[in-house]
Amino acid sequence: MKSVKVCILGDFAVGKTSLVRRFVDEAFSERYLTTVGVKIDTKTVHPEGAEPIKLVLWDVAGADELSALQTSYVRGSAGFILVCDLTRRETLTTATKLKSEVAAQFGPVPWCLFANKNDLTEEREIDDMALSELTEDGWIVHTTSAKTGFNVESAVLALASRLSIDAGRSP
Amino acid sequence: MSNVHRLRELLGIEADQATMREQGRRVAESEQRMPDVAEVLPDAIRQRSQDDDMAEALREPVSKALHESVTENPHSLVEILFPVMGPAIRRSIAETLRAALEGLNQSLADGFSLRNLRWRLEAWRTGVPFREVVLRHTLTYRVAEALLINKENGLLICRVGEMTDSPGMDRDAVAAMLTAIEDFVADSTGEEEGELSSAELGERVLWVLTGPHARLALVLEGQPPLTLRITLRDHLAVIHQDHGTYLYEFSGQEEAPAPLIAKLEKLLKFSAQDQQEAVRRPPRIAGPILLLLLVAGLGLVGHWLYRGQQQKQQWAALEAQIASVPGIVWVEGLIDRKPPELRLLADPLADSPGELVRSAGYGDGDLALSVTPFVSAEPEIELRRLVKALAPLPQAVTVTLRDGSIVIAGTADRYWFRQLAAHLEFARINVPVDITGLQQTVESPDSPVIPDEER
Repeated sequence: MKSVKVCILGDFAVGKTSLVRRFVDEAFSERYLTTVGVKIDTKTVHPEGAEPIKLVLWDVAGADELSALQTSYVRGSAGFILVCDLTRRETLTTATKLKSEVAAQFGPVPWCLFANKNDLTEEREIDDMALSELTEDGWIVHTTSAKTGFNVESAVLALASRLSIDAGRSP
Repeated sequence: MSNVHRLRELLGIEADQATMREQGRRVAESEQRMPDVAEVLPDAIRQRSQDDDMAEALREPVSKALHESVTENPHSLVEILFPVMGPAIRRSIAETLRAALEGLNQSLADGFSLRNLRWRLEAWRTGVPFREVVLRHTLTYRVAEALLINKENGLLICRVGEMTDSPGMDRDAVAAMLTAIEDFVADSTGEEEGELSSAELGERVLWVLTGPHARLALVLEGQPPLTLRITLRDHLAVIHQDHGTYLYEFSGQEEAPAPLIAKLEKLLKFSAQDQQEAVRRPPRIAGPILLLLLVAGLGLVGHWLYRGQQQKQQWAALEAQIASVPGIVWVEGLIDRKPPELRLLADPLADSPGELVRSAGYGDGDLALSVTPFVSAEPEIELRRLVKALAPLPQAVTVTLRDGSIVIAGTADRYWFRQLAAHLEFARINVPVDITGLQQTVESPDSPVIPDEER
């Protein structure tokens, strides 16, 4: 089975680790996240019409910009997931910034945005309109809820499908 | 329903009685009691777990139950305890071994057994610390697991060996985590190529070796010598050499090439015995080299001795030659100087000293020659001096040396006779001159008379 590295990036407390915990096969101790700044998990997915693919997920500690260390963590990624918190507008700004940084450092890499905490409807600061605008700009946006599990599996599967297609092209 | 019943019902007596009947039945029938007890038993035990009475009460039945269980089916307990006991035993052995090793060097350093001396010699010869040589000879180790990890993306290229420690643990995640830790170490130390070289995994040791495109992570059991790292580095270099492109371009392919897996599997065969072989190998390589060096050394010594002897012979030949040459006197010869020095006295009419030295085999710079002119009284030189003084000799006159005397014979005119007489009178000739064989030519009356002054 082919393996691919996928990085999960986003601002502090947007729910990256909770999202990963939602769909991974096996979780490492989360001490690594605070010590080394990254937590590694794996998930085997079966995209429709494609070979199963193993995602090696690098849950990079939250930051509003990439440090040298985090940049080294992102290196070699086949794709990445940006995560923002629908209840905090500034996290979308951070996601945009991180996307630009990754693109500048590593060129075009498949990615998507997980707009998380969809369950907190009352506290939302990022509305559907804003998300639609992003979609119109070419962003692939999935509203998710790590708490309820809403859309998490399908969003990961969607990215995995794209990566699987890319992987099929590579040697 | 009668009024009495209705009244009892209103007062709740009827219900109480039904409840009491039910309770009585449950107390009386053990089967009915079991669900009740089962319901409260865990909480009851938990509640009394801190109580010594509970422990005491359970000690005997639990002990008895275990005993009976082991008696009836010992395998079940073995299976239960194996995951705990295996690592515990290994850890205990490893710790004991390490503790023993701490004092090993000192104790061995104090020892003077033949074996120790041999190991010391080996340490001296190979340049390996003595302790390490001892470890090589006394310890066993093995490579239990080997992982080849892409340096760029942290993906596992291939893995061989047994799943050590946590069989369920995903090796892809382990590979990625090792890469992350390497990056973390590099970032922390500020070195671009910072390297996590080793780590202890319980009683095992993790070694990480980094190549240009891939990292080699090895789980080792025992106490591998540090020189094993050199061997492993060589192995990693070979892997890079043969599969460099594949390693560089690796992006998570399913199956690594068979030759690459085979190379990685070779690592699993590394053991103390192999290493000992490797340790023994240098002498095999060093043997011929040492022999060659010895031969070369002996050759050099032989050459040096031969050259010395040859120089002495050459010097003696030169000395003899100079002694045989008239008009040259050997004053001083210093053969030990570099170059050898030679001081001579030489009559200007003697053979050229430079030519003599060259004919004896000394080239320019081979000899520091110092010549002081002098007047030789040797007959040969006296002869040359006389001949030179009387030159040109008349054609019919011969001047030779015979029995230490200069013999002048033949015929010459009166004029030359006078010249000879004058020379013999005024020149200091240190050898006898015999002119008995010399005759004056008969001059004709027509011969012009040349005044003596003009002649």
